[in-house]
Amino acid sequence: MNTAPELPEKTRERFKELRGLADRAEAGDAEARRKLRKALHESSPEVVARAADIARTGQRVLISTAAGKDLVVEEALLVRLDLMRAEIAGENPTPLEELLTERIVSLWLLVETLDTLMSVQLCPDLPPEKRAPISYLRHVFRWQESVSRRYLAALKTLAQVRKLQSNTPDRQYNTQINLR
Amino acid sequence: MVREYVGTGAIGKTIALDDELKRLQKEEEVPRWREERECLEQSAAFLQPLAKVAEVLTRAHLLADGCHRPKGQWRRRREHRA
Repeated sequence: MNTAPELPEKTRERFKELRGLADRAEAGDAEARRKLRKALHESSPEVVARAADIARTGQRVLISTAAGKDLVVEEALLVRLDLMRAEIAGENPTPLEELLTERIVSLWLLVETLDTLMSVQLCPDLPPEKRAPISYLRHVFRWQESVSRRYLAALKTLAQVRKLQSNTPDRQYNTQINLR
Repeated sequence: MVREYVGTGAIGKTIALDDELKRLQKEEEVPRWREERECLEQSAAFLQPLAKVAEVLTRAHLLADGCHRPKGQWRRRREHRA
């Protein structure tokens, strides 16, 4: 059952257009690259804002699932996400940095939720009637691995985007000093 | 399946009943854990569209900025000097 929230129709159209232009630009079409620059300037903030909206709504749903109706935990997680968001995005983030930050924060939340779930199940004091079957734990463990990988990849992508979009020269100068 | 001889008579019957009870408890637990898993997966479903948008927009921004990925790794294009 796929219950993933979706972008509004208009935003999806714009997103499709951006994807098509990116495909052509990557294949070496110079005209598509120019069009892509223009289309990004016009529609990227809207697409980013809508996707960030989805992320925030999703985070709230995941928080209430993870907190298990404990309002204090729920509030603590919301504050923690806000702090993380501010720390990762930094001052004056670009729309793309904001989007990648939302992705990192969402994946962190899921990593934490799954880690907590596993650590509770691995606790030796847990009564047998509350122990999950091995098949369920195996599924959670696989999921945990995949989410951790995606979390690290998202962090790497943000670092890469910052490096490439900053005006750091791509040439490296090494200075060698011979002491003898 | 492992068969184990535990005895006959009253002791055998008691152990068989205990086995049956454990089996029923296990059967009852399966839908509960399945429900729990589905609930968690539904809560995390928003990550799919988010990942898709983030990947495509990152690619679009980097391409528009003049980057390329010749061997899967994003790099800035060399500037050609006259």
